[in-house]
Amino acid sequence: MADLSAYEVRDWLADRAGGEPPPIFELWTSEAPSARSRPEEVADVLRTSLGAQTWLVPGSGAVQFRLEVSSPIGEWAAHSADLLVPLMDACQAADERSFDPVDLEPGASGALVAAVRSRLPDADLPVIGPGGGATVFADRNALDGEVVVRRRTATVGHGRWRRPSEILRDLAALGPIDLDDVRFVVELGYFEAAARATQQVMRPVYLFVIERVQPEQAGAGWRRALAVPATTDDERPLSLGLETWWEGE
Amino acid sequence: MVAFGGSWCTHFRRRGLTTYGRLAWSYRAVGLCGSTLEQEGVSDLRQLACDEAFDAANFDGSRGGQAADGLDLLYIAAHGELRRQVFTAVLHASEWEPSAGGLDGASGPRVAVFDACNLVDLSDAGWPTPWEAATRPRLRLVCGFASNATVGKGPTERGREFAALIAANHSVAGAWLRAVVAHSSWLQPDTAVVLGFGADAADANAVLDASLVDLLAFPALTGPATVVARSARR
Repeated sequence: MADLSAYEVRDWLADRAGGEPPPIFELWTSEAPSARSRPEEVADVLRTSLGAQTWLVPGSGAVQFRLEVSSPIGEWAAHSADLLVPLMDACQAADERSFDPVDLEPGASGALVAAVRSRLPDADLPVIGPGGGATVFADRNALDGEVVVRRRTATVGHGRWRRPSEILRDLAALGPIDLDDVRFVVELGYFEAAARATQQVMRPVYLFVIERVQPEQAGAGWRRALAVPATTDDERPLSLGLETWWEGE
Repeated sequence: MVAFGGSWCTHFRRRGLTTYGRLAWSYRAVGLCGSTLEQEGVSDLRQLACDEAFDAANFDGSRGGQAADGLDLLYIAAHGELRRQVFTAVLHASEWEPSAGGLDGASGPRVAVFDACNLVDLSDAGWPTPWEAATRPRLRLVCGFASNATVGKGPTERGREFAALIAANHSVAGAWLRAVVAHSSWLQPDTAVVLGFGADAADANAVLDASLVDLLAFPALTGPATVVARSARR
């Protein structure tokens, strides 16, 4: 992850785009089942290890679950570590990646009690969301969670790095902004959509979060996020795999 | 049938030397929430106003009326500013301080969502003060952000997620926290926050655990509320 001024973005992009481009992966979807498409395995792990009720999200391979509990919501933060092992086991059943628990902010006011995010070791890049992990929330007398880790079924090519000028052209979707007034937080990684989206491929992207902190005197802060493809094979549309996060033409 | 009203601003008039950038996708969160609630048979949809027609004077009572009256669920998307613990929704050419007026009518909304930056700063011990200073008989839940609120074509899917979870009978507060987190990136996540309003802390916590149907059945508050917050950030 890099925290850059607007004027540093082009050089940073040029530095990143070296060597063989990371691969583009085909993902399992219910419309294109394959021999390795078994998101039911994830549900099995959650049912067996946690005793949770499970639901498969149509089309995506994501799994949502609910575990009835009797403890008040504030107590679950103390038990979040107990959830991590079964949660990581469920993630492993979904796809071959490395998974890491997320350090959550402490405090009884938090309703998110466990989170896990993923990295693709074969490409040596993180999955940068909004999917690509698992979360568990305390809600009334239940823990509600979802595992949003799609199974990769094949490598469909590497393509080529897109030039910094191509990336910057996509950032025109931001509209007019005062470049002296904002920071660009950017990371190269794989885009994985939220649970309800049907995603056909997972591709390397630059995820840009452009932020203006609320000024001391007057004016509002704001935060924009958009995903821009880092590579292309000049055949598949740039929008493929980005779902609603694609803001290009 | 629940009465849903949504309003948004996508562009803003300069105020003095201060500019407010466009929020081109802000309509999506409101529209996706309202249309999903209607499709799920939860609510009827009332668009209140957008852009230059979204005037604070129509909401805060300064023109005699409060546009949020008669609604059960109000969803607003605009810029947000927090100064000295007071949240201001920055609209096209005006500003609305919802803690000061507009949500206190006898038929005011039960739930108000401010899809905008910086509703509260939970690290400031005085954050409840503006929300506990007045009597709002009907208001029981306010949803928003304790951070900047990401706007983009993708992140604004949170509106649809929020509505879908409400329709699936999750707690309204939990639905908001989950919806925001589910559509945040791992890179710079937003902090979602919910404020429960009750006669005391236990009542406010019960509000935060309530489904929409249960929330509508809570009795009216007869005095200033105790306000309890929950937040989520991954």
